[in-house]
Amino acid sequence: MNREPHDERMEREWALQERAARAERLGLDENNDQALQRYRTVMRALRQPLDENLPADFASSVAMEVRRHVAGDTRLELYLSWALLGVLVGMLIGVAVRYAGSWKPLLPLVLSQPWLLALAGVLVLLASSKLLSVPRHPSDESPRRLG
Amino acid sequence: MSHQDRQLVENVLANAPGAFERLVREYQGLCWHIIYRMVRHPEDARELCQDTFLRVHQHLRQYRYESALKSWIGRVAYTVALRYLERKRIAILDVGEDGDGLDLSDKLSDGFDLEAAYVDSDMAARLHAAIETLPPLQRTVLTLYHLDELSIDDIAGITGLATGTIKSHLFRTRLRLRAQLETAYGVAP
Repeated sequence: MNREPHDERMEREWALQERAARAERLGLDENNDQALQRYRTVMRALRQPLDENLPADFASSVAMEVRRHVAGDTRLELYLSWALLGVLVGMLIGVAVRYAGSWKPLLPLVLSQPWLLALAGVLVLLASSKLLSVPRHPSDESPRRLG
Repeated sequence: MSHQDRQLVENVLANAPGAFERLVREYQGLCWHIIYRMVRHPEDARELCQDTFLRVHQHLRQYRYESALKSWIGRVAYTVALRYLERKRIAILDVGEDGDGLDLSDKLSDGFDLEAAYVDSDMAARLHAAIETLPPLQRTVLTLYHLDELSIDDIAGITGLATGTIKSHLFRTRLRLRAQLETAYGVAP
């Protein structure tokens, strides 16, 4: 199976096939050789376009599908980020509640420094605006298959 | 690897508008020829072509410019089609076909004018039917070589087969097609 045409007869036959393929490819006029003409008939059939084709809008449909996939991946990342944020906030609240007693003496001190509250507010706003700025694609719908 | 291909790949990776659509348009014909020739089912072949380009987009960063882009994409398409045939338990080769072609060569006639006979549409139909009955791998190799005009090296790159194996498939299949036609038209061996 893995051998090349090996003996002299096969080499001649291979050369004839290749001559016929080349003649069909280049549209050469070599009518004097009957054996060549027979192979040219086979080569002509092999060069015929296939009976079925892809739809005319195949490329644009696939490109749109890819955009949907990319948007879907981004959305998953966004959901995971929110889930992680939720877990962190939950843990923070848990820690705050657990150690509330030991922080109580510090509370009047923090409240007496309004710039600390302002700084915390700015940090929260910055983080929120960054999270909300994740791009969303307008054609972000459920994926579909090409017909 | 042509300069245009490199530019196209870089544009796709940079998410340039319309770049991926251009890439698909450029190579959809090759992809279709490989997959449709292997699979033969038009609707499944269309879905597999779509899967192929989704994979190409997903893995394009792994493309190292070591082979031509058409070979790389062709290889993805071939692998997708091969997996489909494995799932459907369809053999890609005719297991009974391991002769060296000499017996077929013996049967070929020198006195039959196929050229004149091809004018008959029945002859063309017979020839196409004979091509359709070939095993998936031979059909695909013939189409890539004759219709897409790929070199034997390119086809070897796509299918992962040795160039000698590709040549052997081409030789024996073309010989077989010629013999089948001559037999169909009543030429005595």
